[in-house]
Amino acid sequence: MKLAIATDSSGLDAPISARFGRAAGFVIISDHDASPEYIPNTQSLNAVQGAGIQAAQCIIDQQVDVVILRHCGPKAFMLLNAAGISVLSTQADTVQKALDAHTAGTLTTLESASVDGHWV
Amino acid sequence: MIIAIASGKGGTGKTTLSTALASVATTPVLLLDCDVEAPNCNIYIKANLAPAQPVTVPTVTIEPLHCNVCRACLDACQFNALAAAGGKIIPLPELCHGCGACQLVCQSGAIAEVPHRIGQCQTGSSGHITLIEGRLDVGSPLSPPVIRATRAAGNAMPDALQIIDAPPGTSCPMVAATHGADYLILVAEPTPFGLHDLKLAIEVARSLKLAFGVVINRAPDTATPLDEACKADSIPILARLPESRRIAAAGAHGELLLKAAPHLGDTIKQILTTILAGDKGAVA
Amino acid sequence: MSRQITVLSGKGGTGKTSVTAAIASLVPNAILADCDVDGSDLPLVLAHHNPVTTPFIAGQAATLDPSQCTRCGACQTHCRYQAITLDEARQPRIDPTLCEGCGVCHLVCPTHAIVLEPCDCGEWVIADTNTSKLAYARLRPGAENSGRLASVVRQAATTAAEERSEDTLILIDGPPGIGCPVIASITGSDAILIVAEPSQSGWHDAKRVIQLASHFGIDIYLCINRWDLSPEMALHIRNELPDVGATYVGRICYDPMVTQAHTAGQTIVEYGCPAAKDITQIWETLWNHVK
Repeated sequence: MKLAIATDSSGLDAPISARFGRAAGFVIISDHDASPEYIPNTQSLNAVQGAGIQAAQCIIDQQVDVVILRHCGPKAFMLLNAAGISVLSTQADTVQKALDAHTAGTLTTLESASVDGHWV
Repeated sequence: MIIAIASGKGGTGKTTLSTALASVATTPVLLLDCDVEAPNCNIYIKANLAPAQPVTVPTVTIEPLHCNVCRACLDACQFNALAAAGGKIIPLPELCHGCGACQLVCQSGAIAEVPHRIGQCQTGSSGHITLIEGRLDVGSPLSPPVIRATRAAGNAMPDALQIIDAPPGTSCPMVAATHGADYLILVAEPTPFGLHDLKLAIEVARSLKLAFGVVINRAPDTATPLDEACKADSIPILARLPESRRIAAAGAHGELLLKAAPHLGDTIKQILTTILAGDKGAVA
Repeated sequence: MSRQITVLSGKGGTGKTSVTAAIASLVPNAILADCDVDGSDLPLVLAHHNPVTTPFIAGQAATLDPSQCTRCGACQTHCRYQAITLDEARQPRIDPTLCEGCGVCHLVCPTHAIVLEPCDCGEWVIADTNTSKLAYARLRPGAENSGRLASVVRQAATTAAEERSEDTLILIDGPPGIGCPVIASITGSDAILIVAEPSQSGWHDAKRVIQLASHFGIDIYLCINRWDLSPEMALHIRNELPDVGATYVGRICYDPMVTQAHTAGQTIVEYGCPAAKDITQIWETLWNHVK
């Protein structure tokens, strides 16, 4: 299982980003891989609009199975859903704590967007 | 001739002045309500409006049988209005600017454009005034396409005198409403916010290379910092309209300015005469 | 729990900024965001210092390298925004105020004489006030106002609130109209306060904002500014509010001293204008509903 986690920096003690579309990047963890990869989310910075969509596209193109985040807007959620990616929400403050919660099965699966769209 | 009326700050009296100018014109006049997010001219003009024409922008649909998900369209789109998920291309119409880039790059003929409604345009007349009102649908985010459609409807009658009631502000909606005008009137109020926002509007007027002048509304009898700022920058003050509770109350009830204050008739006519004579305008 | 309230009007000039600034004086630790980035007036009456300024680069604009241009005119034919004209020598001229940054001209140009470059659209600022923080922006006149800069200002205020351990009110001075900057300023809000003018045009425009906010499912409160300029219209509006799903929270008298307060760089409450009493009552009523 391949996981992506929306963060504000790289590494296992990185904080979870409050905003999916404007997350600094994504920590990617594969089952078989001991060391996490970090993909920056900088392509969103110059976009006039649609940062959440770009972030979702980035995750989809990484072919992850599960994304862990704090909040997800409606367009990003629709795209992740269309790609068959499970969207899990966490209140944990770091990547490691979110991973531990995932292993323990205590994360909430989102059935719909958790915040309004930004239209920008 | 096309005269546009704008301001930096909202609520300075653009609609009051636009409708007043239209009312004193001695030739048939087109009044374009380009404040499409909040169109108010017809509250004063009271024209019977013909059925509305929808204003649409082109957005895309993908024909899955032709699409091979090559993603050229995604790469070409600058607005993130296309995504690839679940083995297909997904359009996001609210983000689409209708530019046509995706269709240009698609090698499979899989992209078709469909009109997506964002607002409407309505025409009506009252006496010698023909009103063209643009109105953005509530929930649609982008006003410039509705403004452009309203301007295009006006340009279909090129020989008429056109008066354009522009939206407040100094960004793309105001630019879409005032672009290409022969003269721009900036309506300002002599308050700190009014002066601050007028300076921004002047910057836009200069960058658009429009001849312009200022009408000061709700002006006291004495000179204000706004009067001084205009004089210091050689900006013509076309008129100073007085502060009046009675005029404000009449306007609140949808009364045209010159019905409530007929003594201002000569002042309003003089603004129009000056502009039509073409002898007053700040250097752009 | 923190709360976010956006102040809107529909029609411009009803007094959003004046009311927002006055409420800021009543709630000293509130974080302020001026999301009316196209003519930002809140900083004129809220004293602030230590500004941290960030350039706002958003979108792109087409630029032409004439040395590569073969004057085929394809760019002008394909541009849907009338941003490209050809001069007498068929040399393209790109008008940056009309350019949408879509890149179609770049795609059709056979020699890549046209490229897209990032747009410097202005800047945003987070600063300290005497008691809290203020976020605002300066959009370059004529620049595209996609709402993104309003969103950036709102997010700067939200981030500042998250850095605090105690609950914080985020108070947003919103833009006029109903377009994308307004939508950007109400995202994430718990309530909107409409400052309405007692006029036919004011009520027409306020109803459009009410419709927009209802679409987003946000609680709507309304006060009437300068109510005594037309008591009949003020009453009419008050009577219609239940039908449109908005709650009345009070009215403010017409007060010529407001201009003096702003000229002195002070809020209505700081200066002690007659309107201050009305605004204080409105705030107490509103906060009772929202908290």
